[in-house]
Amino acid sequence: MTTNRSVPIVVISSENIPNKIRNIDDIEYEVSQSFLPLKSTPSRKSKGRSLIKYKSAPPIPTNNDENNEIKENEFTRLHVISHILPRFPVRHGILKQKRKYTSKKKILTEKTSDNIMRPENMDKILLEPNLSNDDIDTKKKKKFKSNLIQLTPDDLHETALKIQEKSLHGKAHDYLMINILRGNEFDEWFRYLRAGFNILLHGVGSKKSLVSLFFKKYLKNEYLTFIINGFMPNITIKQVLQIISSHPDINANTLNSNEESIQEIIKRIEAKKLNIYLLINNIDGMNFRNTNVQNIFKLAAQCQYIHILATIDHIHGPLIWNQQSLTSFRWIWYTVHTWLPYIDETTNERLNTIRLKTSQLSISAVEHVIESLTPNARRIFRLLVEAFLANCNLKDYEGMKFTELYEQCKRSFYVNNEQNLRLQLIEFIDHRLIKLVKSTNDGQEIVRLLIVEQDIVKQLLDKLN
Amino acid sequence: MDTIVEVHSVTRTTQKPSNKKSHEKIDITRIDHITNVFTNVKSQLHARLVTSVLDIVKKNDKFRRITNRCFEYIPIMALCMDSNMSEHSHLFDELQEQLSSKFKSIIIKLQTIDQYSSIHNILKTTKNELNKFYPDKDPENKNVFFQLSKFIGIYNELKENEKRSLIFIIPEFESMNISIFENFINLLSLQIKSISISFVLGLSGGDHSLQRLVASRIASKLSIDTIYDSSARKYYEYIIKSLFLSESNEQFTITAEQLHFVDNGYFETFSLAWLEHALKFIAFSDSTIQPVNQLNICLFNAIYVSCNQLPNYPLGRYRSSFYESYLSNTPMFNELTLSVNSSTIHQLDTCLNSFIEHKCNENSLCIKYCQLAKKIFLEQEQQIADDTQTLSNTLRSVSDKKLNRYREQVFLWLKQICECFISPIINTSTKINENLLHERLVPMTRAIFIRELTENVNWKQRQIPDLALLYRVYTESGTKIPLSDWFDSFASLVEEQEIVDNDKDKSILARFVHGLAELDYLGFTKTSLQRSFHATKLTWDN
Repeated sequence: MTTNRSVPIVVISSENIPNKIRNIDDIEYEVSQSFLPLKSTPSRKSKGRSLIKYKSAPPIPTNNDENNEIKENEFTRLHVISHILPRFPVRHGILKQKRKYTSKKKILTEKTSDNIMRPENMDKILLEPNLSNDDIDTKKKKKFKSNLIQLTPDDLHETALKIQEKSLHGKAHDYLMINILRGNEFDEWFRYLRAGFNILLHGVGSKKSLVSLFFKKYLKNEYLTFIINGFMPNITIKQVLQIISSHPDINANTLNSNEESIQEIIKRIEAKKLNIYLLINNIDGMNFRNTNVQNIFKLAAQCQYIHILATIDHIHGPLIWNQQSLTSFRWIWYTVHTWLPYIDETTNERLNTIRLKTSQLSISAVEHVIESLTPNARRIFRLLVEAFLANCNLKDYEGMKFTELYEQCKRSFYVNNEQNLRLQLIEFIDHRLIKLVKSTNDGQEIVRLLIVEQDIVKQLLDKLN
Repeated sequence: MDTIVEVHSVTRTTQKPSNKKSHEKIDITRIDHITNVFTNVKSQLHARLVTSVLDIVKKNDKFRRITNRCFEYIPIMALCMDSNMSEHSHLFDELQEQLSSKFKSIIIKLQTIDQYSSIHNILKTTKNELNKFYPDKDPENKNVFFQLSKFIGIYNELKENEKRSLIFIIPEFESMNISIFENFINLLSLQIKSISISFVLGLSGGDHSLQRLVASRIASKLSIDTIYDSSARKYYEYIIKSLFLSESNEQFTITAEQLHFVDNGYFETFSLAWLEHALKFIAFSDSTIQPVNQLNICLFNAIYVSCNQLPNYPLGRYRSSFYESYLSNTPMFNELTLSVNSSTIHQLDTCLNSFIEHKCNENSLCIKYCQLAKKIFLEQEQQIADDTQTLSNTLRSVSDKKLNRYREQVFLWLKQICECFISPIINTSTKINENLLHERLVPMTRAIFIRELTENVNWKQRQIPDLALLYRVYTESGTKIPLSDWFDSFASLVEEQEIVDNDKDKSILARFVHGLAELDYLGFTKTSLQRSFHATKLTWDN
């Protein structure tokens, strides 16, 4: 949706000459011929615009037939042709002459409700300040921005839940079974999985509920199943392999290399002839998109005892595999358009979308910053995080007091003096992790954590520990 | 918030009824049969290649023993596989085993990229193998780079019966840097008088794969034997014959449409793994197929031969469409006529000879047609025996009555076969048609996704979802989409279909932002709010 610069045009035509539409150049030309002095208006609203001010309406040429009389007080009609058409082609000769006598042009933008206008009223309109579309645009943008700033992540989350509620009416399973799965797809999927194929779901809408429904109907209490949430921004293949290895039924050693780990898992599974099911939500997740991770999944897919049902959402999702990998996975593709909103999958994107004015950072950015901190700085930050988590449920909690933080740091030998602590806090401020504010209650200095979401703060605490 | 991995163990109780579906037996005999066929065909064709290589090595060995002379060139055996090398890893394992057992050779296999990424690595691998037969007696040399000349000095002092030849096997030659190979050959060529050295190279492509080697600076130092006994088409022919045209009990039928799909897919990718996957899916999915348009041995052979032996235009190139049209009983013999009419005597002879060679096993009708083909061949051979050396045989001579008559006979013969073996079309009861195969095996995910977003047919009775509304505006926009304008358009579209109170502006904004986040997540946009309130469009579609 490109914004065209609107160029309003005023066309004046006469009743006596109904079909003749005279453009503004003609008028200017006539004006210049009649040598009427023209004054420029004092203000110039924007570059390239000029105002033509007419003392009186330009003379309208009429056929001076004897039979026709020139009517007095003849009305002129204002026809606004279009507010987005460009100007009619300019005659350069006239432009030159115009420059002698004219400095600005004024163009009307509004539609007039009554097209009948008297000449003296037209003067008034032409004399009014320039009403340009640009002004309206900037006002709209400012309003939009201010509204956007007021939105919180909770608002978005609630909105997403409402959208889901609208389509599901509280019964997710019924919606999926009746509206989405019209046949015996679940049966088919289960048959194919048991026969050694792997299933890949794609289509518009979140498929997380569908996968969990399939699990409940066919795999619950029957087979060892791992539901891997690939859409999570902090998931790593190493964690996944560790969780699978550590399961008592598999009990494989976790090795340094991921490839060795998966091969060890496959060995144990083949030895025990244990059928396991991997339900991977978003196999094209952010952290799964590199070749090494996909090679791990490929090795798993090639094992006859590991059955994979996965979903992809990204429009370019299938590009993570080349021809060889694609055949190694033995995918059977199913198109399933659930049209359910992506609630859990878009947590990170929603937070990113409403992070304005560089005052907040995304999860990955914060984690990256924490990794770059010195061990001492991390300890100090951990104190702040722990204090936040302990008190976040309190209504009036603004943040940890500076004096309190200093006491704790001094006791634990993190800092020697107040200046060192302040230097450290300045580093945190530079990294946009905290803010120093004055308390509204007692005017004391408070260190406020800029990350507001509890879940993210908990994750950070885990990372710090 | 969700956990990264949810673990659900098995908790069976006697009281709860178990899922009946998990105890249903699944018939995977066809799938196993397909796996066996593929393994057998590969090993059969690999065996031919191994035999060819062993013959050449045997010949070279004999030459050295008898003449007691060395070669002036380094012998290279190039195996042109015409398909992805990763599917033929067993070939090189088999080759290594056979060469090491049958000949007194030291086999050095350079199979990983690390091993042939530099000359140093190649020499390191060589040293490791040589140490198994000729252990390094000088302990001081352990940490030093392997010096081939020094080794040769020690080698020359050995007795004749202790000497072994060196054979290098490089399965994926095309992924090796040619300059590294050239330098290595230069190094080895200094020593070929003392020790027998040869190479076995695996090449994925056809003839053009060797050009790199032939055009290199070291071509004069090499003597290249190319072994072509493996091609993608050959694998395909053997697999299709074994699956559908053999006498085994595990035979299952396939429709023309399904064969057409498989044929097209295979000859686009030349991937045996894909072929296996597609055939397994067809075999498993439709176990109740009626034998409609059953592929017949004679017909398949006739089509295969005529497509491969007759001139390339128009037949050989469009093989799948040719037998699809015949198998679907559409009387389109134009292509066949054109091809036969434009072929020379030699080509027609080759066509008939090949068909006789490919004759089916014990099938009475096939034998009948083989006899007919032989008859045509013998008759014409006698008549045109004199003309074989003249130029006119290679030209399309319209006035040549004998040639025309021969062409006519061949054409009628092929037509008879096709008409005889095409059974009438019955309304197929199979659900595995070409559309479904495309959907299940090679879907166009992006097109499907965008079609679903843009089609309004589904939403006549219900409200259009927010994502669809946002996408509608998205498609009409340029690269940078100003968010405020986008929001205005979205809000007006929402207000058209819903009654929204003025106070609830924020809900529309929240829906808009949520939709933006979804589009970001799906990869359609990249929203930036930090500098300019714009979203960058990332996909462009018609």
